[in-house]
Amino acid sequence: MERYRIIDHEADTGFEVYGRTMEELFQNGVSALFSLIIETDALRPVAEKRIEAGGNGELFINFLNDIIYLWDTTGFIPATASVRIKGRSAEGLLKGEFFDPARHVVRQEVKAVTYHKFWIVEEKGALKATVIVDV
Amino acid sequence: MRSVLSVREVGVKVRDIIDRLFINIPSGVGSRRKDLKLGRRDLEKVLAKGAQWAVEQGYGTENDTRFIEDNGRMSFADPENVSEKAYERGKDQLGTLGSGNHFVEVGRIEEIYDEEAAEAFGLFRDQVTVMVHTGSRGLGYQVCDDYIRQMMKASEKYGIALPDRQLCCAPFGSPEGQRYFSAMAAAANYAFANRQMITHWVRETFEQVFRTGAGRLGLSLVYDVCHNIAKLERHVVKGRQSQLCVHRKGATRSFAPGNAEVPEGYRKVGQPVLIPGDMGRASYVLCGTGRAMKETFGSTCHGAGRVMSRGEALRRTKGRSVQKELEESNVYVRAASRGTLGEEMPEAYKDVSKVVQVVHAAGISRLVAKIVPLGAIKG
Repeated sequence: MERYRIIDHEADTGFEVYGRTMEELFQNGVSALFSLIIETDALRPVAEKRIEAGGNGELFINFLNDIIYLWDTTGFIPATASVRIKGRSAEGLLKGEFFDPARHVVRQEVKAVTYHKFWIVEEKGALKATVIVDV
Repeated sequence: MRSVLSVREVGVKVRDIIDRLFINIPSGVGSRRKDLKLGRRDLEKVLAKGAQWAVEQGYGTENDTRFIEDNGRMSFADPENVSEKAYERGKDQLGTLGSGNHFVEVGRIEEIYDEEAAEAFGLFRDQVTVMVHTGSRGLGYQVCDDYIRQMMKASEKYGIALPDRQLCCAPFGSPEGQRYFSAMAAAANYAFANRQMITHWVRETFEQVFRTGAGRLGLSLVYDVCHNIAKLERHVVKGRQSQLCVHRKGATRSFAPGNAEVPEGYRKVGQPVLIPGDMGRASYVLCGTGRAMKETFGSTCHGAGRVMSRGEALRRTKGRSVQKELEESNVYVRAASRGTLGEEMPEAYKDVSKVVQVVHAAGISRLVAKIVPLGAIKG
């Protein structure tokens, strides 16, 4: 199953992401997001970070924005994510590595994941989310 | 910024200037000045005082703040309404350029369209100029993220129907609206301080290259403008003076001659409007007009805008060296990441010359001077 597809229009940058479950949708969302930020091909899962997201608004968007916060403050790049959703909160165990300018190529600065055109729908038994980022 | 230098005096030193700017001004992900450490208290002062904080710390002079919108300090700012997460993001990023489309560009005035306005702004043909584009960095993005979460709730509370949830909001006078406005102003102050520090390092860089004081190089601020900000302003609506909250997103201010917000020396011609183009072609200086006050609440365009998606730009530049191509057209560029250089290639943008012709013909700002790039640093 395809995990995500990049949306690349003049005005909008973002992705469509798929998952058989909500957890998988979140996990694939992390991969899609970071494929916009950095060249992720050779990432190694050598470090770990845990995050917990919640609060007002969409859990999916808050979760991804909290990971952007983590990236911006620590330089942590997730290679994989394992997610558990409990009611209004999501816990993520992220494995990846810290940014090293000698090894990693930054693609663009993603300021935030936005609500613009955001939607999660069920299609053919799987979930699909459309996400536009602010760059 | 203007200088007293002509392009002949700078000559081949452009490369040296760009190389040193690249060292002196942290660019790209995670880079910062090792000689700068800010505590929580310092950051609170930055958020409250903006560029004025930077001047107090020795970055530039009082004279600079006279040429910044709002004198580099939005008085509405309340550092207490900025979250811990935003402080965390802001602490290591003050005095950094960032990545994406942010840059410092050294240019030369190629053409003057309006002699009187150019003289008021201190601009002349073949003069060397420096343009800086950066903002509130991660702190500003975090303020936005924090308050979108609050506004999601507020929109429901106040029964506001949203055509797009990214437009979530609260009435200006509500507690939520006021809290957000004060946090946004604090982020704007961070941006003013950030640019003021970079202005100072631009001066230091030129001093190092020319081995003389910045005073003799005449590096002074023409103007510092915002292009994504909401402000309380007075405008005439249906024949009556009214106070409005004007949000300029992808737009910049273009106040007319005579407006009290315009620095005294420029008041006869209107505020300077700075419109950067892409790395390879040109940037423009315009001035504000009375027509902008009547038709666009004193606003005009802020840049060229993309004509090609970022991904398309990256695909087209794969295997090409944008840096070499620019060098062949005599523009020397240093970038922290080859990725960001690709997506910012000149063809990815509309031709800014055509864009400024439109706003000039529409009368919402008036052409003053054209700047062509000599070199740039990018994040």
